[in-house]
Amino acid sequence: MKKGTIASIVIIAWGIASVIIGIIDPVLVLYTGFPGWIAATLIAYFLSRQEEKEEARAEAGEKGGAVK
Amino acid sequence: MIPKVICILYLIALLGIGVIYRRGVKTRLDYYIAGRKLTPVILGFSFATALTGVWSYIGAPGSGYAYGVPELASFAGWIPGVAIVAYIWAPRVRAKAAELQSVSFTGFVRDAHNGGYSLTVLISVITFAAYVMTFVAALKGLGLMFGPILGLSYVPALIICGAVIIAYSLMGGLRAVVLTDVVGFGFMCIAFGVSVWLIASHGGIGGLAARINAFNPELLHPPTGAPYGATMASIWICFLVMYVFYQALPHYWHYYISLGSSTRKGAALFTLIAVGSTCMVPFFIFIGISGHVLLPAPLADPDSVMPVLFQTFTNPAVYGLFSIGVFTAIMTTFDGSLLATTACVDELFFPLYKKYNQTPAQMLRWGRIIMLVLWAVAVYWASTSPPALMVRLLVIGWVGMSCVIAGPTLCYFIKKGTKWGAFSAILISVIVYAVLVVRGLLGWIEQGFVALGVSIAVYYIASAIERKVSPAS
Repeated sequence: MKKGTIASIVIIAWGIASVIIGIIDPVLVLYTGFPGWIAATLIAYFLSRQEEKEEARAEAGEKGGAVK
Repeated sequence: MIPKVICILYLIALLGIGVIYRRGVKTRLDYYIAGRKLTPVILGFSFATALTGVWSYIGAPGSGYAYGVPELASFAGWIPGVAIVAYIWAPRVRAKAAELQSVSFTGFVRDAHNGGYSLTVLISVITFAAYVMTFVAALKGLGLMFGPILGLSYVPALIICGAVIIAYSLMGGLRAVVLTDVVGFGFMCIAFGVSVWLIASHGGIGGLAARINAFNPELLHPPTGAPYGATMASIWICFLVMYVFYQALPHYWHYYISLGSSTRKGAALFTLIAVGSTCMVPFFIFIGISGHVLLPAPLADPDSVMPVLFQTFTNPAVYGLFSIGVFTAIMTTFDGSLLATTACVDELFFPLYKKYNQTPAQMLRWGRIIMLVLWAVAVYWASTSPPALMVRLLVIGWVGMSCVIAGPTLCYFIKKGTKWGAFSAILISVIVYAVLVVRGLLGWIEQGFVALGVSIAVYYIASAIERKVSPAS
């Protein structure tokens, strides 16, 4: 599975989890909202960055192969 | 005196931003989408302030004070919607917009569906109808809030504040709009800091929640979710679903189109900032609910809870900064929507520009004239209409708009429809929504969901029929 897809799943999963937390007790959202979303989006950021690097590396490898 | 001086200095600074960015605007592309060169971080700050707007400072805490926790549920249900659209859809919208060379929401939907002038007219007219109410509501807010601070009556205050906004928007286009919004984000952070300090200095979240429960347990654990008239669980789920589609509103779409990068990494940064800012709003609402136990006497007007709390617990300088924050929040809703709507209405005249061989500079001038006309209409309407009506129209306009365009926007990226699919989806769902609103059938959330369902269903059904009839489409 691509890392960008995993990042999307992380965002959606935390979105659903945050709604479930809110249904259980809305006040819990004040404790979990900020740290949870910051963590989810940072995970998405690092996974996306890794995916971009891997794609760039693969592209450079392909170009190198074509030159050879 | 201190709030007045801070306000005047801020208005002058806004004009300065417009003057600075005026030189960089040479074409429609520069004006409407800043040449598609704004970084996700800068645009994220602007998007964040546009997302939260004045409702998060004033209306949402006021609703929290009046009804308790359901407003918190509605906002917290919104955050996943923002995250999902900003991370998953926004980079795809941006990439497609760059491919199509779109500078507006109208242009994007039309070109993505290979549509013609009929689709341009339909989308532009609906966007104008939905947003003109936003402009009017924003101008009314400026007049009501800043008249007393500036020592002016309602209409002059409305005109002066509105004139500053139109001046920097006309001069600097999206770049000026974004920079002023970034400044606004700073003020929002101040309001957030004060809210957190208020919570911390009154026993923390747990301590305040206990005091609220002792005062009235229904504020945090209501039997039904007033004013939405549904259970709390259904409010959470409804707002989660609706806010995903709400993110396709034209002025939000305008941000996605304007993104300087279509990479996932950029989208993650954009999402981080947007979501981080929306996470502040539940704190504002909680502070609004806490008004019952923090203030010595009950308030006649729930919407005044935040200003009264700031006036009671902070010094005049902080209250002045809070007032600027409110101004900025109104301004960000107004300037971003005005620019996005102008870009949509401008599409109506684009064939004429081509017919009469207008140069890029002339096209830019026409765009500025359109913006000025839209502003003048809003100022006239704002100074002559009753305030309560505007708030109702604002809700109808935005909820209706986000639902009727659901098919041809976000659903486009799931499975592309055809031009008549897009046209029929918007037209039929607008008619259905208008009938529901005019006849007063269902509550406003249900009206939105019906329009949303109709838009998506018609989009796919009409597209399938068109493909059958004309396989080339």
